[in-house]
Amino acid sequence: MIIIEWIITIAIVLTAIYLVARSFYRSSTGKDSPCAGCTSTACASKKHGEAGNR
Amino acid sequence: MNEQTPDIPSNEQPATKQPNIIHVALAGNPNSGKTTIFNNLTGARQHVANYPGVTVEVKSGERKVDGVRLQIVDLPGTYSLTAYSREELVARNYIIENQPDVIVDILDASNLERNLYLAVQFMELAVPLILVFNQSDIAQKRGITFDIQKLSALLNTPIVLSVGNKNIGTDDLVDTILNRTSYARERFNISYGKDIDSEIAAVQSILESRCSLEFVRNKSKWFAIKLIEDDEEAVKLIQVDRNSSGEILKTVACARIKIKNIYGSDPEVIIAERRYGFISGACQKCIRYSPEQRHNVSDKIDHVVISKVFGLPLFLVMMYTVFFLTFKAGAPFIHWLDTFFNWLAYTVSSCWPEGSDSILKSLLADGIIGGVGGVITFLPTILLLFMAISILEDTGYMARAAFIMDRIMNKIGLHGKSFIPLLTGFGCSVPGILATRTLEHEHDRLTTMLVLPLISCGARLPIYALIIPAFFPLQWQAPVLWIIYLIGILLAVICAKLLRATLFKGEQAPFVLELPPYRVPTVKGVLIHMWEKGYLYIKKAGTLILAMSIILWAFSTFPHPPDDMKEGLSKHEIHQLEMSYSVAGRFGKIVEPLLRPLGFDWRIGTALIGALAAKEVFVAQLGIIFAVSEEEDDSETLRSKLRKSFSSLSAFCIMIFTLISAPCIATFAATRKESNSWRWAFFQFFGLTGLAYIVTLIFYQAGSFLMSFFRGAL
Repeated sequence: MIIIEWIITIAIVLTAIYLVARSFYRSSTGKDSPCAGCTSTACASKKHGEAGNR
Repeated sequence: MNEQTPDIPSNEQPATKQPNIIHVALAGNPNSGKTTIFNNLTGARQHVANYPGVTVEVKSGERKVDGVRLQIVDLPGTYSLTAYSREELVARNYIIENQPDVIVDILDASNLERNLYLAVQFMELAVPLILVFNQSDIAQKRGITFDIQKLSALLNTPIVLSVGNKNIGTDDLVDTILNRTSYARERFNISYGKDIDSEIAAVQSILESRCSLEFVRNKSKWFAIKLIEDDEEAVKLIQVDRNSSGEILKTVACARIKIKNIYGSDPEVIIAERRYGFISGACQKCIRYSPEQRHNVSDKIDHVVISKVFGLPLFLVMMYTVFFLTFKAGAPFIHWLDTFFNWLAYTVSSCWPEGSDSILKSLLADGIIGGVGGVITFLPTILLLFMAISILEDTGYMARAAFIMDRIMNKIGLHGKSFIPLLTGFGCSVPGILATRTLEHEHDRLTTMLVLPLISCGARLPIYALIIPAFFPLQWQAPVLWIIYLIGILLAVICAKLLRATLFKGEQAPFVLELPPYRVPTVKGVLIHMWEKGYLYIKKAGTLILAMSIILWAFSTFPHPPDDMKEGLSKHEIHQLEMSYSVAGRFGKIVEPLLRPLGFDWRIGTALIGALAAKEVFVAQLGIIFAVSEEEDDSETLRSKLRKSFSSLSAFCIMIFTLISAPCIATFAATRKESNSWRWAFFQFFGLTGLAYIVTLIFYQAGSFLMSFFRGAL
């Protein structure tokens, strides 16, 4: 039981590390919006259209 | 010498423009003195013809100046460029299809705000434009005075003063026409408010990518506005392109519904209001009226709200009221969420036998519920703050706040337009940094970008919401938050001033701040804005903060100390040992000597590192670190633990440090991307951290000195 708990915990922690690293990588390379998502009309990220290129 | 032309230009594109022929289109409101100016220019020898396709008369004439032929077409007198009347259609179709070299818009100077409405629509069309303030003598008699130079710079358009019936200003106009045609066609942008702007951008984007009509793609923004205004002619034109019209019109319909939902009025009404807002903003800056000229309700309110005497104090009172209501109204909701997460942690923990030191239990109760729960607890504060800001925005007050700040910023040598990205920064620094694209000059842009993280973003609010009630009595909670925000604004202004005086010297470009008329906000509109912010907060808590909480929990838990070290220690001492033995604890101990002069200990050090990922993680990390036992990890307990560990002065310094210090990673990435330089991103990162250290050190040391001095005196 203890071993299973450890496996689950390690899996969760590794997944979290992967997700955070992926999030930072994608935002720093411009693949994702660097923000958590916004409604700004000035935002030019791909996610929010071309408004920022005005 | 004037000559009569046999034909006026037709629907066809004008013939290849020779340097010695300039096509001039004369436009203006009815009764603005257009015909008189036309006669002055052409010597009253005009040709009258029917414009092809419609039966509205269009006159044309000619004037020769130094071998250059000015072919002048007198367009029908109109108030706007909508498709409601034939005159308007003729005027706008002529401009779009014939592309004259220059448009001369004749305005009745004694009724400028109404007349500028047409001028603004010409500016939207991005055509070369000259404004003629006709009947300027009457305006002067009525007590209206203009700062022509400033207004011309603001509108980015030459302005000529004239008195048509006395033939004053005609030569100036001719000279300006001759010069004007050498100018490039500039783009001109008015903000119609963030909701409408984003819908325009969406329609513009689909027009550019899907529409097969080249002239629509070339004037995509103008067509996007017209489609959202439900302009019949524009819709008909799009329907010609059968392949894409369905998709385009569907996007337009969605945009119209969204705008109507938010504002409770048709988009065309709101857009017209925004145009008048733009005009009002420009006129406020450059035109002085005698008291009897100021008549409408918005003007009367503005007389107080943006006055030099009451403007700033009223803005500060408004900010204070927002913070007070946010704390006061949010407290019961925060308590309910506290109770809920307390119950959740207890329920999860009770799945294991009492006293169990299961690692999974610790991860779920201390790491996930303690971390994410601690952040979500402050959702009511976020919602209430953004509800208040949304109400202020929708009523039109925030535009006035920007106007007040613009005046102040200009006085200290900063670009007023910077305040708009700074205002956005109250929500999140990242869109604020992206909004600096509206600044034309690189120096203004970089200055604003670098100081923007000093404006306290929404992510820092949970930190204040945790600390302020823990250390300050109710009557002091709103003032403390108010002071924190003010310190941020003041530091941003001071730093920007320093940067402009040292690294980024240069001139500033003028600009217009829109002053839309005051409106009663719709409940639906406010709720939509509030939900947008709330949703993003919950999304962030469920993704990045959740993942960071798990990682920080692991750093705060591993490695475990060997069992022989725990022998003879109490439960509390064992926990302290485990914490200080962990990665986070060891790192905290390393940085502790640096943080001691600021009144912080190693636990704050680890939380500050976590805050680099996202500022809310600071709260999550404190929740994890201070979780002594699963029964005690709710935020009230956290507040009482903080109270035991730190003084009020230290608590205030923690808030100051988190306000000023290095921005989160997302802001760092945005600065890097927008400045296109790692240098500025690192300059901002280390510069702000250094500034945070110095300012906090001064606050803490001066505060400690004063406290010991007064204690000694008592």
